[in-house]
Amino acid sequence: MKIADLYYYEDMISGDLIKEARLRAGMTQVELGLLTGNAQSVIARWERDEVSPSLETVREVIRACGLELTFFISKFDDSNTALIDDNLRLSAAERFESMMERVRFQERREQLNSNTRV
Amino acid sequence: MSNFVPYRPDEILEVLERHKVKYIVIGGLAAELRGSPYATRDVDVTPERTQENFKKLANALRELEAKLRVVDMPEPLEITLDEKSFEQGTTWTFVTKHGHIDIALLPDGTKGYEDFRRSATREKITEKVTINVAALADVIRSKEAAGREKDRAVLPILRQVLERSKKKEREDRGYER
Repeated sequence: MKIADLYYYEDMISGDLIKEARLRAGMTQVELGLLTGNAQSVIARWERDEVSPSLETVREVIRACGLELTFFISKFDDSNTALIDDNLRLSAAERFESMMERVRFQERREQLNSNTRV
Repeated sequence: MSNFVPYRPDEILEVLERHKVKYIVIGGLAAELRGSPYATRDVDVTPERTQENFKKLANALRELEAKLRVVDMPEPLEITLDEKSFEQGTTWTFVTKHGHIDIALLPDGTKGYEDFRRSATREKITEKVTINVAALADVIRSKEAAGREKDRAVLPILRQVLERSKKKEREDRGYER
């Protein structure tokens, strides 16, 4: 087992948020590191989800990018999870075919509706 | 008169590929190809911003019989497209014989083609068509920056897709505890 694996958390999102904010600000990891007093390697490890910074740190880093991390608490909804997981099991080509099946179905329905109106 | 607009993204993208246009599929279609359950009805792409590429793009759009869609105008406009056309704006919306295509030279929150290219991957979508698809994290970044109501509505699901796909990647690599 690699050392990095010890730090792995399930469904970590802080790395995504930091990377998203940095790229939106058009900064490199080095530039963000200089702004926040962190080495580039620290930023890289956060972004790779190898290390999880605290929520307060994530907020500060995002502020350094000129953005604000806002919060709201809402009811947990996992109704899409099964659908998403099913999609993720497919290849891009299979997802595309499934998408086109829905499109063709919708088009046939529109055609039928339009014929009925005439 | 029928307002029916077909939606054949594979036909649109096949033409772009055949003309060797350098572009990346972004937006809702990229999100769908990455696993999003939200359906879209247009093709969004960001092309490389060079004169040579704009020329290829203009040729491809001519073959697709592209007409310009303009807000508040009931009918699309027929325009003459060449490589110079794309110097006059950063966002272009067209209707073609195979459906809608939106072209964004600088999608919100990004630096355009080069920015998306870093994490994009080549994906085969049909036997005949293989395309460059933006990473979901980059699609999310752009939609978040755009801040439009329709984008904000899908963001929670897109973030969920991103989390689930990272979880699946870890499981596939045998990292999951």
